[in-house]
Amino acid sequence: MSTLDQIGKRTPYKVPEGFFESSADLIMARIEQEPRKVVRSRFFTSFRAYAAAAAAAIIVVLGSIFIFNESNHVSLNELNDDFMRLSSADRDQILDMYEDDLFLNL
Amino acid sequence: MDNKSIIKNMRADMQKGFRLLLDAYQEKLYWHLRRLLGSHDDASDALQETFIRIYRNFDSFKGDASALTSWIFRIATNEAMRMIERRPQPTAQIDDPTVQPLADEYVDYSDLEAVKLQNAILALPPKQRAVFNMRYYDELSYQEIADAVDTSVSAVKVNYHLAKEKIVNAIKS
Repeated sequence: MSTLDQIGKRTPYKVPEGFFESSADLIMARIEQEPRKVVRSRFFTSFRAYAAAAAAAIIVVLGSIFIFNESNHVSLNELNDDFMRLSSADRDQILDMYEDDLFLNL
Repeated sequence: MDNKSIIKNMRADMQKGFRLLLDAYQEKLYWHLRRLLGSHDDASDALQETFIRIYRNFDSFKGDASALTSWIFRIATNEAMRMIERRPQPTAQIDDPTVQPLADEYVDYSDLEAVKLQNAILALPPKQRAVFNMRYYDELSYQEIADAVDTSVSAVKVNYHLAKEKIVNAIKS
């Protein structure tokens, strides 16, 4: 009759000759083919979030300016029509006023 | 190589650090898996899968050096449980000595007492078998075993003592 104490940690298990060396080589070979997930540091994670927020803010501001300008845009034809609706006296006064304007005459 | 150095090396250079972990744990995990599965081929397959999972999931390991052993044993034990579910294992009743679940090319059948003990262990329910092996052979603490099998310390203690009682009775007969 045997007891657990008599047997202790002895087991009947065996492994093939050189098993652990070849097993380690196989595992390392498989590991080398594994794609590694790139773990970004907290700095870059935060930086990316701030950059995304800044880009979104710029888009909103530029978009607003563009839409605002679009809604207030007056075409040259409309300007010409408005000008022609003025009295001849008013037209002469405007032409006299802007005749020497550097920016209008570029 | 201690756990702290292994973790430090793995975080600095994954390939180099992983090799250190492999050297430190390969034999321990093989014997753990072999005692759970019985067959050398199954233990060898489970060992490879265990290390691949360790490599893939190391980034999710947030514990300190003291938690590394139970984390690794947890992965290995889960792999063995998956294998037990997938592959039909030889069934045995612990009180029936005529049923011999241990049938493998790499077993010394001349050591009758040791064969009898392993047959008794293989006849335990898988989770109880894992608890018994981690305590009796690997000498993990009850807390480490509880972490590895995701249960309470008191449940581990009860399982271990029940398993030991069954085994003692089985090898006496």
